[in-house]
Amino acid sequence: MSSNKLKLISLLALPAALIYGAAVSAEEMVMIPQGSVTPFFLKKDSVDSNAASKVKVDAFWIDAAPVTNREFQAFVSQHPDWHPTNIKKIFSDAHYLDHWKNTQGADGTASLDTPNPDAPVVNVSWFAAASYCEAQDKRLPSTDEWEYTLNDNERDKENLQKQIISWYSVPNRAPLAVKGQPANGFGVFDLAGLIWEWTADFNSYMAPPDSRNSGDKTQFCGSGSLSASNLDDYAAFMRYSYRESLKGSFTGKNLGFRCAKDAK
Amino acid sequence: MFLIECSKYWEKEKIMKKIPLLVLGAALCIANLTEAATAAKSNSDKVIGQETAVLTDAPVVPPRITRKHATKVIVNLEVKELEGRLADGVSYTFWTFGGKVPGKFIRIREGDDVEFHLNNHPDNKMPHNIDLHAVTGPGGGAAASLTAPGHSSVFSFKALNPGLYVYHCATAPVAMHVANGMYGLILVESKAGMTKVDHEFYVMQGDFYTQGKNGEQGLQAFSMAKAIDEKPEYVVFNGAAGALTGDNALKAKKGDTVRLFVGVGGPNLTSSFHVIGEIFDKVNHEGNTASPAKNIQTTMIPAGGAAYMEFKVNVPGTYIMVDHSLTRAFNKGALGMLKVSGDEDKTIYSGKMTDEVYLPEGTSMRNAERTQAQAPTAKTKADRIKLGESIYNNNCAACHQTSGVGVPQAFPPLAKSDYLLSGKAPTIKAVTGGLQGKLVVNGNEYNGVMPAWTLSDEEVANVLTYIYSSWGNNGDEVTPEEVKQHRVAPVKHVE
Repeated sequence: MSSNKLKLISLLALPAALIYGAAVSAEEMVMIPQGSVTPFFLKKDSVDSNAASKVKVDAFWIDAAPVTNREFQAFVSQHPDWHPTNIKKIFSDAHYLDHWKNTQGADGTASLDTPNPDAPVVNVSWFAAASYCEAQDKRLPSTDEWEYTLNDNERDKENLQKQIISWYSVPNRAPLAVKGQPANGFGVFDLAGLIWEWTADFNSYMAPPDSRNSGDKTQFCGSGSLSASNLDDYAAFMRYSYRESLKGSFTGKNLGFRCAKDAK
Repeated sequence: MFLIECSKYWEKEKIMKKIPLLVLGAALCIANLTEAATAAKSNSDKVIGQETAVLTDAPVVPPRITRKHATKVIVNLEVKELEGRLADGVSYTFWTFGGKVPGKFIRIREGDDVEFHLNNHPDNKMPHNIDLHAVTGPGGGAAASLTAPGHSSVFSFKALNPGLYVYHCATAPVAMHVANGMYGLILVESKAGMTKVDHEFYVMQGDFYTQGKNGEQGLQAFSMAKAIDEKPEYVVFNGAAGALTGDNALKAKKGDTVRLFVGVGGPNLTSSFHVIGEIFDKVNHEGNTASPAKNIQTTMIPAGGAAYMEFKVNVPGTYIMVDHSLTRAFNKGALGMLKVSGDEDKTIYSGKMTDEVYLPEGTSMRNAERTQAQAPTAKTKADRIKLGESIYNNNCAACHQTSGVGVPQAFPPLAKSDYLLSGKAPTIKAVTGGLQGKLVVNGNEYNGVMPAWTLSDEEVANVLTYIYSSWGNNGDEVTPEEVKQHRVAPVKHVE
């Protein structure tokens, strides 16, 4: 099993590290072995309309922890287009990086001041997240990959669900630093209990947001249960509903991301 | 209405053949008809003007609609997730339409065009939407209003059907959103409008599923397992145990007319809604505006349904509102109060007129038998606790609960109670003589009645020893001698 836990240390030495004098954390990734996952909902373009069937997931690398403020800061310094003062309006709503202060940098590079550099970066749009990953020669994980990683081969399933529900059951607070809780069986941290995370295909499941334009498969109300694969998994309902409510330009006070990469 | 009166007038005049009067009458009729026509015209579906809806928190209801035409109504409803009180010492993270449970009361008129703005506060964790049962269309607005935190959705609908309707969040998992308090009422008044009453109140019942048992202190997380089993720890009116009791009680004066708008959010339980000591003069079942039923004792309100009822309060006193599925009222919080002030009317309700000893035939025999078959006597403190436990369960647990925690706002706790620790004598007096009126226990004020118990010295000693030895109390032993010494005659309760 230890081969499954291969860790890749990125050797990209970002100039930003020198500017801050802080150790830009090496992008630690974890190899997730191939397997299959039963999607919670059917894909919108699914042919089989009866039941969600297993989907094969190829082996892939995924960040061991969500991208932190520190890491995103380094990215913004390198890519001024993604600085809050420069970002194009179609790429984000008005709350982009709201939790960062002093965004009025003279040269638009190094003056960002984040309250907690080791907390996951939030208030980022899908476009910004995707662009970050691309800059690291990575990509956002697919929803299937992300859910497969969370599923953790069903280790400690009940406990995981409880943990997730209790996170949803407390009011929103500013996220704590990453890796505050133990990693799951794959060696991945903070999939639950810290933030929501973007996926590459975040809104490709279920019906469009207005059921008046769609068939019978919608996630709303009682009918939400018709197309789901596990009716008792309230936590999954919530994740899929949350993703469904998003658009690529949206940001959220507890919406962050991590990157993935093909295992080739 | 004028037409009918006028045609009658014509007939009458034809028979009477009073020509001059006929002319006068005809003139009046024409005037009336013109007025009626104007009224009919302004009563049409034509949408005139625009206004922003007045939204209120329970138990307050927005003012009656007096306009005689449809209008465009803007509704701004904000979703907030916040920690609040579910019972004394128990908090819960509510998901709310407007900051309270139930959500804001919305009052519109048949034919109105409603522009609905659903705003999801940026501090929220969850996406939310709204399904208004007053909306005709798939999802009742749900699909059109799915809104991420920090965003707003707008949709509009025409209020086609008058009635009292529930609205609720319908984001998956819908049961959890509703279990966290995401429901409220929207009233669509009919074109005819509603009669004026002295008081209108807004009451909504909901069931809550906490990880901890009823009464377990602190912030309680949602229990998915209990929700799926439909076994709530709390069933409450207006979002919390005690939301409508004590100082929060609804208030009216003798002779007032009262209209209650009552909804059930659920997610699971229905309500056998009843006001103890009142008969509803009129009940509009299922929130229909067409045909009220008369003289109803208890009315069934489905989950996701509503009804409104009217009654005149003739006799002063406190009227308890309950879900007549009584353990919910007694043990889980489904209890509210309507306090009616004013002078008594003995012709309607006399109060207790006499209290005499009732001696059925053979009573003396039974007493004799009883004396012979002596109750067991405790020899040790352990005996006392054991015997006291069953006395407690038979006499005290109904109010003070088997766990000794009491019922918030109604029955004081015995567990770790500062009242008990103040000494044995007052406790013995309370059990033997009863208590009534204001009482502060562990910092909370109670205003109720504890009856005097007809228990022997031995029995009182045993039950008190049990109480002192349970739930973290100080473990004192009370002896029959002490009971004898401090025993008092029952106090007379004055209503």
